[in-house]
Amino acid sequence: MSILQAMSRLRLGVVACVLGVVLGGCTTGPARDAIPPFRQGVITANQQSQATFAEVNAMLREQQLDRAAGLSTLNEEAFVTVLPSEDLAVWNRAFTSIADYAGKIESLLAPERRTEIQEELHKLGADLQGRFANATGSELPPGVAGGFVQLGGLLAQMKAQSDALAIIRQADPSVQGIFESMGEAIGESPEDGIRGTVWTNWTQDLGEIQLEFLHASANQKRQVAARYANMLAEREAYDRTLASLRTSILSLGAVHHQLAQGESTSAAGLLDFIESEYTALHEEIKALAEARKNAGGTE
Amino acid sequence: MNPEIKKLHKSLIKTHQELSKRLGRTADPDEAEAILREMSEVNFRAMMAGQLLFKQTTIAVNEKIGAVLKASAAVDQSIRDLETIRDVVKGIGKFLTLVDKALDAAKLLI
Repeated sequence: MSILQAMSRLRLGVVACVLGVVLGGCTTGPARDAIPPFRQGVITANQQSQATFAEVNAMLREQQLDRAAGLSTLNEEAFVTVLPSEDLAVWNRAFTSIADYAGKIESLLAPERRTEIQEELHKLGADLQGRFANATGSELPPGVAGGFVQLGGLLAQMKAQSDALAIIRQADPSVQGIFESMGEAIGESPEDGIRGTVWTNWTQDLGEIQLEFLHASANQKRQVAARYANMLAEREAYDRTLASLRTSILSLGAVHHQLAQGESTSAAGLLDFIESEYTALHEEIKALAEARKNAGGTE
Repeated sequence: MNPEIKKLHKSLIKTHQELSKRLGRTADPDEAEAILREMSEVNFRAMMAGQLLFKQTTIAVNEKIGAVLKASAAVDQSIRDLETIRDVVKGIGKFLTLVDKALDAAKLLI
């Protein structure tokens, strides 16, 4: 074997080795376009849950103050923080971890990963072309170097997609578990979970108005009845906010599951809708609370 | 989740609803006041049960965060793999230069 033949074989061996390393599999990857809205959805759900739960705690504290005012003694046992800060911190950590993980998946699937490798392959191709010309006195057939660059880039992309899909699939049961537990904590109906506690609290406040009605003069009764009707609407709107938050969290789970199946997902539209619904409900609650205050009710 | 706490929470909510219905039917202010006081006590206990329920679901959430962190680490590794591939490709040109030099030296010895 001549030295030239040995060199050619060595180079081919090196090239084959590079392709072997790059080649990670031929699986279809997760829908890359769905990752940014999913990540944004997680961040939004975190903000919504922290804000809503702070309001829930404040509202429940008010009711506890009303109860404490009627007790013969005052002690710590008269108060309970329904959604303790240490538990809210765990929720925050869960959301942040999932958002961080989604951000990394987004980075793994970024087109720049492919471009960077293609740029290096392009340089290598030019180098090999020069060496081939020096060694043989002839040019590589046209298109070989370009094809080599394209193939390398494609293989890099396939490896990224294959890795991303495998990781998402492995994480899926835990991500589902987190979102399902959160959904369970919020409650499926106004008789469950946080929704149940909050609904009952509103019913207690309504009871105060009902008692006021019994003491009211004929002239005052209409005004009291109006406040009662307004508070019924507030209770309803508050419950819908919690239900919306629950739907939002469970939708994130559904989107992640679709990503794990390698299915295309309409994550962006769905999560936009949820965010706008939540904002609209909050506006409604603010307006109702304002109306109650103007009608002579408490904050 | 402990089903007993969930059941207790539900049962307190149901009791509160029944008391609320009774309150809505009475026209006697004294009776209404007594019912409202009872409702307040039930409501407070519903809050306590609600807190325990929330703590339990939070424990379930916490147990699964580790798997998400592990997935994040796996993505980091995959990104590093691609960077290694890029660096390997980058190093091949240099490697071939070395091979050329070695072959040139070998030619001189033949």
